[in-house]
Amino acid sequence: MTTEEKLPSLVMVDDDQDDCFLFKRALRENGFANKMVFLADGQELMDYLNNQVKNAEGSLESQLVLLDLNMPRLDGREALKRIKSDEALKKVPVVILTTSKNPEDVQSAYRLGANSFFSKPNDYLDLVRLFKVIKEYWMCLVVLPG
Amino acid sequence: MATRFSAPDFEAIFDSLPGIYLILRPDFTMVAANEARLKATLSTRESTLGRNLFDLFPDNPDDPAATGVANLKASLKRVLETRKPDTMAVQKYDIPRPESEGGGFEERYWSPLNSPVLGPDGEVAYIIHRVEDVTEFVRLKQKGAEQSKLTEELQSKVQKTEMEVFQRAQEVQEANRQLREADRLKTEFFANVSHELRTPLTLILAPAESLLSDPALQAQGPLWGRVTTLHNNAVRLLQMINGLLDFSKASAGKTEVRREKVNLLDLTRSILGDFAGVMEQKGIESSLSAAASHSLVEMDRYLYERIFFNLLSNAVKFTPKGGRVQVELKLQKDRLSLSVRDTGIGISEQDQKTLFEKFHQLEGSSTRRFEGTGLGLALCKEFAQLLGGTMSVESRPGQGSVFTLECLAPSASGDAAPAPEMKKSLVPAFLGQGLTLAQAPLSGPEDAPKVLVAEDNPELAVFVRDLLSPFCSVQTVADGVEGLEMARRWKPDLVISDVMMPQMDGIQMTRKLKGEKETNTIPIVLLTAMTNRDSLMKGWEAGADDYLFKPFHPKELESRVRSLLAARDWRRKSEAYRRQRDTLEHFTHIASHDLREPLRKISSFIGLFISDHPQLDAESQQSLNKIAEGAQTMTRLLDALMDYSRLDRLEAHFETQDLNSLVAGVLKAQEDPLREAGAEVSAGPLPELPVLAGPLSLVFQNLVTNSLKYRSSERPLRLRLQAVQRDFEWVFSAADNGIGFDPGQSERIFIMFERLHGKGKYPGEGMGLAICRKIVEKHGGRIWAESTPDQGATFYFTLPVKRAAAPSKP
Repeated sequence: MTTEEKLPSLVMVDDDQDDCFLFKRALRENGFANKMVFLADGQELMDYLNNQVKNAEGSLESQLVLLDLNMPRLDGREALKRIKSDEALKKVPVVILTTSKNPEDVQSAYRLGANSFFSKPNDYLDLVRLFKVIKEYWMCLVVLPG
Repeated sequence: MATRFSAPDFEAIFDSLPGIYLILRPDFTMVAANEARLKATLSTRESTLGRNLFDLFPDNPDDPAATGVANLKASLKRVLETRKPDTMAVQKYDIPRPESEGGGFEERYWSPLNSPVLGPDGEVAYIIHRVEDVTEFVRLKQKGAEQSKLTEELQSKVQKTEMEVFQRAQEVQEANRQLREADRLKTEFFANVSHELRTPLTLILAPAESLLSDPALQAQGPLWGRVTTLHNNAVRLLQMINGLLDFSKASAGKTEVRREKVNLLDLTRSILGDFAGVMEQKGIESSLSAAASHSLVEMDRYLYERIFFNLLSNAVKFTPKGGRVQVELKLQKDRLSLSVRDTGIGISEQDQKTLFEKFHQLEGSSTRRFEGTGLGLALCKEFAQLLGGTMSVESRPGQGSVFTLECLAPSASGDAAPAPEMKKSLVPAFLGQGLTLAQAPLSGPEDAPKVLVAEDNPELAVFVRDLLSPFCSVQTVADGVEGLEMARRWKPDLVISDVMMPQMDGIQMTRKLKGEKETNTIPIVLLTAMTNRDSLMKGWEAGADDYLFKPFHPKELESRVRSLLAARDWRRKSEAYRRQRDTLEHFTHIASHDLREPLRKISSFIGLFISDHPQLDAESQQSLNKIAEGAQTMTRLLDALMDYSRLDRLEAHFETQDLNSLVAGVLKAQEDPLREAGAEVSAGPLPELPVLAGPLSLVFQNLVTNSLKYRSSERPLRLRLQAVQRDFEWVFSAADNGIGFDPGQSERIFIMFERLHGKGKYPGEGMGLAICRKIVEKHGGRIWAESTPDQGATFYFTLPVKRAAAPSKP
């Protein structure tokens, strides 16, 4: 690790390739230059985070996880639960970004320790706006642990 | 005066008179009584003569209703006054029994006649009190009355049970009607939803296709790709909606099998080809292997396609990047086997059991929603059955799954195989349709209700069997152990059991049957002696459903059996009805939820497209706008559907609310459109009531929106919201001066998707008022509307003053 301050990275977990494409575009449109990681399901996310812990002797990158709920293998709810009940991982902020607007999903996500909950917007321009907010708030204003 | 003959012995003659005679003085002292009298009154001459009649024969002190003394005194006094004979009505006048015979009184009925004997002065010297003992006669008559009372009671009991049977039969018919109605509604609902969704979808598909065929666009690589994605999502949406329609057809039993000559190998290859794009995108490898001596078979192309399509969708969905999907087609003789093997997440053994059930979706951490609706595999199974085959699954979690279709596929060169029978409606025909009391059997012989008779007396067992066998299928056993065994194995619809039986008595058997999950819903009738209170109580405690007292009238047994069978049938029907309704709500929720995803993609890609290409030609621009509009319409519709289905799962959390501020909030939110319309709105005063605030706001909001939408173009909108209390409810009204509606249609407007006006002129999802109705009903109220066309409409709804369950304010 250098003493130089490193920009926080954005970890996007979504099995939907179209959505990933749209997210990428929306971020680009906002001039997002940080590191972006795309993962396809909860299992990949757990492997990714656990690897960081192992390789950097317990330290984690400064990062924000954007997590979809409905995914194959290990879905977002379970991944969220595992992260938030793991001593080493629980400090990683997790923002839910999913199709569901279902109140039950919202309740359970926050109960499991989600840091925010967004419903995927219907409109592309709204998506661009959402990522602007995420970028400005989570990646600039908020001091992330790392 | 010389006497020619000596005077007869008057005393002896009097003594021997066959009637019962007593002679009284005017002061009621008894001076003479004949033998018959003494005998009838259990008295002796010594104890009688010289004593006052009423001292010796007082009223029976144990009979508070005794009137003998008073009546007799009155009659005697009349004789003294009128000097004429007096006949009395039959009297109950109990006779004191001598101490030697146990004392007390003996019940007696008399028919008395009192006649005066006048003295030389013309005054009454004696009274002859002659009576007839009618006790026996009265007793006989009483017995007769009792007998007929008993018969009457029995008759009315039979009548009562017959009434019960009739009522239950009515209830069964009502439940059955509701079930049919629910089924019809469901089918209609799906057809409506599908239709409603298809219309905007064509708005998406058609322009997308026209864009796709634009050669100029084809030349631009990435742009072309985006339109393709858009188009793919629209097609996916169409597939899902078609799935909905398939389901509604299948559940209405309207799916027909139409076999035609099909080259199955080609068809299979071409469907797999449709998935090539998706698979490539996900990095999934696919292969097709065929073992077939021929490829031309008689097959319903559509059903085969739907099955294979669903299996492939699942395989692709659940197989992670870099996985494999292998398709194997075998055609042998007249059968085919099609298996789709994936290297996906797999399915646990437990989940495999319920996989093919309707609406079943695997819940759990490592799975996600099935494509669309949770109907895919259920439809596969249903379609496989239509094709005379089966669906099966083999799977290991983490390793993958194999889904296999096996069905009839007659080789096309051979004789055409008979088409399998069309699937009947999911709702079984009502067992007791057209049940009339005495004559008609409860059902046809093959599905007759099963009655188990446990009775150790062979004659009685045969008697009961013969009585019931015209409308039931009857098995008899001789003791409780056999009964228990038979009940577990045969699953009867009703058990009739004697209480006293060897080995295990009826009560023990009842307790056992009621304690087991498999048998505890079977109604049990115990046969017992009326007098055995103990066994009666024990039987109730053991859970017996009914009693029949021995000896019973055959008709009573019959009606009791019919009544219990009908009740059971009714319970089953209403449960089925409830299940069906729940299924519908569940389905609506899932369907509207999952249809949103492809729609979101369509909207997003359109947006991206437009932002990438601000300088599009007018025609393309128009196409894109149309697509965007279509997607918006569908999204609104799905949101409304979701609201609607969510209402059912709403937790009923009622809070007392000031409706004035609730309505003020609603009007505030509608401020802009109301001002634009130049509307004049007045509200209140409104009460404070326990309500579901959110949903009730939606009611007011929908009513306001409605008035805005259907306002007249000739005058500014005037809307008045009011409430008046009437008995135990408040009646709310929203009256406007808009275009109104045909009063004949006032029921229809509360039905989902019903629009009275053209969609072009008045946009909307056709769900607002359906939602209002549901919310009001959730509150325990009613909603209705009145209108004079071109003058305005008034919507009314009621809310109860108090909620039964809610805590009342102090």
